[in-house]
Amino acid sequence: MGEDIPSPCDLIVVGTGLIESIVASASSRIGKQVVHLDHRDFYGSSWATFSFNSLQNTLGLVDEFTEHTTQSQKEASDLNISLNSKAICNVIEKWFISDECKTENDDSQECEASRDKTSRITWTKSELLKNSRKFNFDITPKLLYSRGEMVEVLINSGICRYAEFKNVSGIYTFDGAEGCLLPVPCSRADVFNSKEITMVEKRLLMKVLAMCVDYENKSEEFKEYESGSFDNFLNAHKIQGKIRKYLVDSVAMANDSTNFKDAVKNVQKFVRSIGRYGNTPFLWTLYGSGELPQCFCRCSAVFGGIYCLKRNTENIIVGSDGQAIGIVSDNQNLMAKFILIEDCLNPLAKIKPGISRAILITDRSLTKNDQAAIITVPSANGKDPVRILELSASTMACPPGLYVVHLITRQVKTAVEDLREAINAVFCSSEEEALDKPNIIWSLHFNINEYDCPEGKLPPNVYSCPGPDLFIDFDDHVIKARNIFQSMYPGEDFLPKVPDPEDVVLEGPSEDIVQERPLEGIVETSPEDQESGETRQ
Amino acid sequence: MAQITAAKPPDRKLLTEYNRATEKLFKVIIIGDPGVGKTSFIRRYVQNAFRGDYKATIGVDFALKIVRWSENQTIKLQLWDIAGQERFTWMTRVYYKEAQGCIIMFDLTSRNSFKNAVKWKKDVDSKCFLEDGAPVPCMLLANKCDLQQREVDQWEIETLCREHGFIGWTETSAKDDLMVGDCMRFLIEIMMKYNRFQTTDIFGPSLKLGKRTIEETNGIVNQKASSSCRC
Repeated sequence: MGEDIPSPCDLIVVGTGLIESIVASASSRIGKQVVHLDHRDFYGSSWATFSFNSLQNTLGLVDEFTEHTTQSQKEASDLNISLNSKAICNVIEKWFISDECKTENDDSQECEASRDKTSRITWTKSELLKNSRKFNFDITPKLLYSRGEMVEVLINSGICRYAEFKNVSGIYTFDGAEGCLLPVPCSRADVFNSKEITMVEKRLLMKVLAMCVDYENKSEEFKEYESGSFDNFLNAHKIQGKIRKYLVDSVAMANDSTNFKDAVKNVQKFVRSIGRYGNTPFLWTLYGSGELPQCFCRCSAVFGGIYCLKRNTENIIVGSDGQAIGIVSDNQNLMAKFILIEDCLNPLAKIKPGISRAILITDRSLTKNDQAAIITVPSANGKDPVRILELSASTMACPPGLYVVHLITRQVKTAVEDLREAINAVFCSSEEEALDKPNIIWSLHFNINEYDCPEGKLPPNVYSCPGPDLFIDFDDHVIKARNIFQSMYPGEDFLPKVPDPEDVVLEGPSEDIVQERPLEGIVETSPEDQESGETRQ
Repeated sequence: MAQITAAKPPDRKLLTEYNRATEKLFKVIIIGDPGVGKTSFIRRYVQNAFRGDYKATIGVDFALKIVRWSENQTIKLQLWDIAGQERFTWMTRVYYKEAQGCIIMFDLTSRNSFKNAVKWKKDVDSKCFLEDGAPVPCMLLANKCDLQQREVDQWEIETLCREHGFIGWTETSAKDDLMVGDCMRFLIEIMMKYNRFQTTDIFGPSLKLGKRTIEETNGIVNQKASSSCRC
């Protein structure tokens, strides 16, 4: 089939991560011939979402992120883009339940009965694995600000029709001193109904929020803070205690050293996003964040993009003028005007510590949340905060009765070490408290590498796309994708609206009246005959 | 912290009444190896036309066919073609998502396309299923039955159909318009039957962006929280 891949084409994209997929769809959309390849057998690279089985296969038993040793003969000037490092490492999986039913007397009816009460459900390992497909585990879970770049791109392009969302129902910050979660008030009504803070604090909080939102108009007032940290600004306004925690941990998504301008930008985005789709500023993608790269890939395919997974890439071929002229993929030369690769394939990239991640399955919500909740465990000793996303069954992350919890922080050592403190603080407690805290049923720790890619060293028509970062949303990646697109195709429209397929009428009659005559000639399989069809659950 | 209360699921009785007298929407996906005749089949069914040389339809996800099923039941069928572009690979989950019916097509004159039908079936079953966890009803079509040189025997098709949980199979010819409408009727009947067992969404509505009017309030400073997440 290989000879059918069009060559030369306008753009070859290697890797199906978010930026690659957005640029691929934007380019197909304006009529460019795009060839999109990935050596993996799934879409999304380090942005993918997996079922239980496929996650285990991908990270554990069968390593899809594994090294490729394919070396082809190449000219000295060519750049090697075969995968030479793992994007995901330090993978540790742990089960906290046995494979047997853990009820006191091993009566299966008893087991059923306890399940009905929805209080504490006893799960076994085999039961969880039997429900493999009901789990959607994100490698890179991210939220969307209701008025952020991602939402705007999805709506403006019409690509939003491929995805569904849930509003995040709660935002919390962890109070280390009290050992409890503080709900962060979002709307004006929340603030004034809050019993956590005093009237004076409420007024102060509203005042600071209003100031930040109005920052552009009153830049004179802010001049003295502009070059300093957000901390400095809060000190100057005597913001202390809980409202400071709300502002720093959740609204500004900041830490001790975040500069004033970045923090204000986040506050503005937070405040403006409230109320568009619900009470909090955030949306969660149903079936996982890994849906989004696939939405863009589908759009690209619908506009003529050629997709090919499980396809290795070996080299970028560089011409005598220093411009790339194509790539070698499975020993075939594919020519293109532009080439886009993911950072982990960049021959000049150097691995640096990236993200520490954990995925937990728990049997109870930390927040009585029935959709999705975000919890921030603030930074201690100058470290980055740990962001926790708790997803209920209604987000399609897991079967009813269970919760999927994602933990995300900057990698210092390994995921296990970096997240131990936060997991202990939020989940583990003394015996007497343990009754109302969630039990961890299963955990997976891993690190996602980031890459240092020196700028200006690749041929000018080759672009390298960063993988996942620490931010809670997608917006930086959307902006990077748009910049890459605009530098390749200056002046072209970035993802204009696609026509609604319901509005596209193919010529010819489209309405049929079913004739009342018996069906003949179709061999129907009776249910008893279906030998290996999946059983209903 | 104010919780967003999801709208109550509609009353089942009312819903049944409602379904009885109105329009149903089904998403049907059509997959199979390149060149087996998927696009021709869709064109034949939707437009009652046949041409030997289809170019991929650029920019359209699916063809829409409206079927008057009975006096008070209209069925809107979305026929999702893989559009040729994803032909080198398995499909995105976006393509499979929420499909209520599936057609896997092979070419009677190509043994390889017949063998790959099983691969396609496995891919569908691994990436989507009905709300109750059952596999999406999947019909096997042996296309190009108008041609003489066949590479696949009927008993082989029967065996494969049984062993891999297809709901049924038939030979078709998009070119000569053989069994095209009839097999679609068969699939619709099955989908109607399955549809009756589907529960309403237990988790409440999800958000679709950019569809309906969006509450254009402007944030915390001068707004009251909206109480519904249905936008």
